[in-house]
Amino acid sequence: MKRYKKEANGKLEVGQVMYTKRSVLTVDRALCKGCELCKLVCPREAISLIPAEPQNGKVVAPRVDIDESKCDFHGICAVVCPFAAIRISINGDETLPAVAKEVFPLLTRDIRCDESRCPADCRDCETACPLHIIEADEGVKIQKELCAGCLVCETECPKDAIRLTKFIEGSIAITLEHCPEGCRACLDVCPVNALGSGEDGRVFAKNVHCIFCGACKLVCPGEDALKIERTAIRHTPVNSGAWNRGLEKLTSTGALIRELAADGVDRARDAVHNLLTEEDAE
Amino acid sequence: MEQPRIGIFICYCGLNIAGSLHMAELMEFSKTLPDVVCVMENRYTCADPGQNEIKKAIAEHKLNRVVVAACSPKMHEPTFRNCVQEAGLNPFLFEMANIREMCSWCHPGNKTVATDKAKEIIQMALAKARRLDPLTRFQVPVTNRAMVIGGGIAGINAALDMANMGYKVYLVEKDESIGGHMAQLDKTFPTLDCSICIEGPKMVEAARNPNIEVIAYADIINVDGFIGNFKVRIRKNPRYVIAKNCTGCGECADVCPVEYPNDWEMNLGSRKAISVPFPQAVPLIFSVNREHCIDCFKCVEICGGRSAIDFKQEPEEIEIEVGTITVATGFDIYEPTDEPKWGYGVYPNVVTALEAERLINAAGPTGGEVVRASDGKHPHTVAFIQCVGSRDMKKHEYCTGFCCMYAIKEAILIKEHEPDTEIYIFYMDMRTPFKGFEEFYRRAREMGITFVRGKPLRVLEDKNNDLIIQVEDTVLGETIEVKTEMVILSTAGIPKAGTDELSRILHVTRGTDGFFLESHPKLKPIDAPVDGIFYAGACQGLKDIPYSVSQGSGAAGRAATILSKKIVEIEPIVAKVNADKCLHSKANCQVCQKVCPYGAPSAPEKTPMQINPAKCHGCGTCVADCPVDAITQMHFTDEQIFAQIRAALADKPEEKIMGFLCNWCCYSGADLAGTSRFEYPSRIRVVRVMCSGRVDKDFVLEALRLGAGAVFVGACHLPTDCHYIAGNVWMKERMESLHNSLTTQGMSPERLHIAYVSAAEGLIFANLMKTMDKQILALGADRIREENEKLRPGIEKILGRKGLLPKPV
Repeated sequence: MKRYKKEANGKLEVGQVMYTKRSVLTVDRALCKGCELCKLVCPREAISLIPAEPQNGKVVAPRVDIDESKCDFHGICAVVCPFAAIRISINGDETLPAVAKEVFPLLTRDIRCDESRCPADCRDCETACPLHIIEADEGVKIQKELCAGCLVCETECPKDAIRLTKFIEGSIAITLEHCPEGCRACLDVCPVNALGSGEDGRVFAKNVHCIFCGACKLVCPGEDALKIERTAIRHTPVNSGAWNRGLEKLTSTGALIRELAADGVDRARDAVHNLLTEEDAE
Repeated sequence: MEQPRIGIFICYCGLNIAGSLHMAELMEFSKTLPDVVCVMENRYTCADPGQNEIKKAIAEHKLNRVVVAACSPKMHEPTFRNCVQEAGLNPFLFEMANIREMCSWCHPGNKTVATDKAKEIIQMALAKARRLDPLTRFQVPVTNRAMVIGGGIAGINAALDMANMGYKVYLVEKDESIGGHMAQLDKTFPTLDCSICIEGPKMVEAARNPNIEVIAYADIINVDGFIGNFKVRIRKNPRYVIAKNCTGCGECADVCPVEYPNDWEMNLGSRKAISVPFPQAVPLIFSVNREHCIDCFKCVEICGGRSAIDFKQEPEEIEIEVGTITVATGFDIYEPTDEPKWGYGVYPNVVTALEAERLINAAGPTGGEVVRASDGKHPHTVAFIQCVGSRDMKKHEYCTGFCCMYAIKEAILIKEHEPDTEIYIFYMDMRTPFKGFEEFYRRAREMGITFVRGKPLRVLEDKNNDLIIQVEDTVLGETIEVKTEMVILSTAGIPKAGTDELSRILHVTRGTDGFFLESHPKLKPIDAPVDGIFYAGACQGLKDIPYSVSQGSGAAGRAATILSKKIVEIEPIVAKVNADKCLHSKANCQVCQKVCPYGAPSAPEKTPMQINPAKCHGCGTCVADCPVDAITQMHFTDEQIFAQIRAALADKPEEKIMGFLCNWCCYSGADLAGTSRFEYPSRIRVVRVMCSGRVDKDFVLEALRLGAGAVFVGACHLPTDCHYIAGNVWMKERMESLHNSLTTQGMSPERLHIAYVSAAEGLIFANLMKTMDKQILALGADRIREENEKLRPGIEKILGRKGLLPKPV
């Protein structure tokens, strides 16, 4: 067995080569925004974030590093990456073992465009998208799997043609008194322009656009200046201890309990429904 | 003490003794000695008539001590002990004067000189005999249960044999399953039996035998006690699966999302986070690897009502009591990642032979296809490189012993599977010494496998991941290059990881090669130096399967010699503490504990030390190192040894060498010098001690006080030859410090000589005696006397303070 790590073509690649199984994990550096979600959920604690040097006077988000001796390639990190920067392939086929084995859900990336509403020559969504995943050349083409759910396109659309739902819900708050003078670190790293500054130079957060990825919090030098809370995550149905743990780490114990309770209600409802339909059938 | 009535029996040993000594003179002299009431001579004292005379004399003269002046005590001490015991005397009231090996045989040239020496040897024996105490052998009860550590083929066989003799056996295994390396193999040489097909039934038989309790996935934490009475603490590691609920169905593994490299498969394939290492595992209980588990609980869900999975399991410690321990921990395979020249771990198509074995195995990760890691294709050419790590002074000096055979086997198997494959075996020597091996080698050659004599210099890789082997063909006498598509390294077997820790827990020694050291290489190859502990299989030195199986059965037989008894007898020559003198109660002195390799001395705080006679092996190291002489060794007391020294040095001390020789190595070496008839000067007077660790500084001081020409201490070779693990090491430390202080006080350094002589080094002993003779002559008697006079006041002060000086008459 051989384990390796290499950096090539803007990608970080770690691999584990056995006779029967060749597992590869790649992190697309261009897509990775240096948030903390993958690190939070990795059960092997294989992921670390290395602080980066500022460039052109701007703060740069940290770089992801993966310990190839720890990685088990189940793709839990890939599932939660809002930017879909992480990919796993086993024996050359792209896959997410954790999802395939039903221990982790997929995040619900729900973005739709009713093109019939689009005005001619309108490219507002394309211009607005901070991740540049929309092309409005001939019809609106959205790289759905890369959408982080910032809602900027929806806000900018003049005709309410684009509809999307966030897959991470939460809140962001800035306590200006704790902000160091003239600091714009959070603005520099925010991948979706969810932070702005007023004419007075004061930084403010736009809750509506924030995807709660936490990239800003990682670089914020002020104590308690930035507060992010993730309260819920929208995902495909799953019943797994591993997801429960992941969810708890991403959000909070309270949010986990809420989800479990909701699941319980769902299950009870299903059970009653099944019972009734069975009775009907009889 | 009763008035000694001593009988001396002088043996002629045909002409072996009588030919070199004035026997009549020796007889007459012996009669004049105090306390001697009877002196007899015999042609052969050890023969029945001779023994009968001793018995008759004991009765007739009411003898209460017997001295036989004959051969080495190593030869006939047990014979005569039995003899006097039969006559109603305590067997420990017998002493032997070695006038054959240490006198007649090594000083044949001058009868007068030899006779003088013989007289003094008899006087020394007499001096000890007067002070002998009757001793009784200790009797300890035996727990008739056994433990086997390690469930490889050797351990399984040892356990089965003992179980079938009717003894309860605990078979403790570190891994999740028993089976050991044999379970990993495809076929066995030279018969090509399927390995798991023949071992599998044995594994199952062991697990089903009502007398065997398999404790797998467990570690030995501590071993306490002694022969017949070991207490063993074992930690059962949590499997997170309840053994009795697990049906071995494997549904949990099917749903488990996590895979990690399976080290049982040499990491060529993976296993699930809940799994067994291989399908035939015994016991067939799944275990969860919590390091890799992501707690998804899919397994719990599928296991359902069987409720076998318990994530709350904790390590469990148990204690078992057994009478014997059989160590069968096996070996590891060397992975040459530290030798860049082979390219292992760098070039994908270089594998070790055990990895190749897994590839050949139909149950292995590739389903029995030998393919290249780089492209998954069958190689057209395969090269084996022999002796990787073995017979290499930089790695392991020894020959692993089974690599030649497994390489031939794998070559034949590859050839049978893919007849077009071209196979080379690069070797230094092909070693095929056992049953059917040479025929197997011939079969390989007839199949067209090419054997090239020469050890490759290095392996290089080209851009197709093919490998180029540079080798000096010692038959052609030139360096050649061979290109192959796959290289298989026949790597050495090495001591199992954890062998050092286990040797510490069991108090058993390891050899310089790292494997466990047996009690005697020829006559006790299965016994550990600690009584009641035995070895089976490769843990004692690398072995193939039939040899390991035989040794497993041998170890079972050896263990049964103890288990079959209700009690075992222990030699009473143990150490004993004088509670009034011991400093442990006042000053927390722990010197004896420090030097004892067997953990025999122990005591609660503020109480005198006590020595557990069953644990004590009787080396006497603690006796010599006790700062207040509070410890005595039975049968080798200070009083007895001082008396021997005084008897030896009564006359012309400056001409003599006072020798203290350890029973097992140097004394045997000196015996061998006699047996081999190496003649050497007659200066040495020998005090036999069980271990050089017993040689007290006071002995040396007393010899010098009495005016000895020189003092000689002979021990087993450092570091591991000592029969008591480290007695020679403590002796060395003690004697070197004494040597320092004596030389600073003006003693010539050569007058205290420490030497390490094995039982095989008779010639070396004889040569040492010649060297020391020359040194004493060179110094001259005057110089020696002068030095001794200078040393005497200091010595008298030390010995006087301890009350060791003779009382003025």
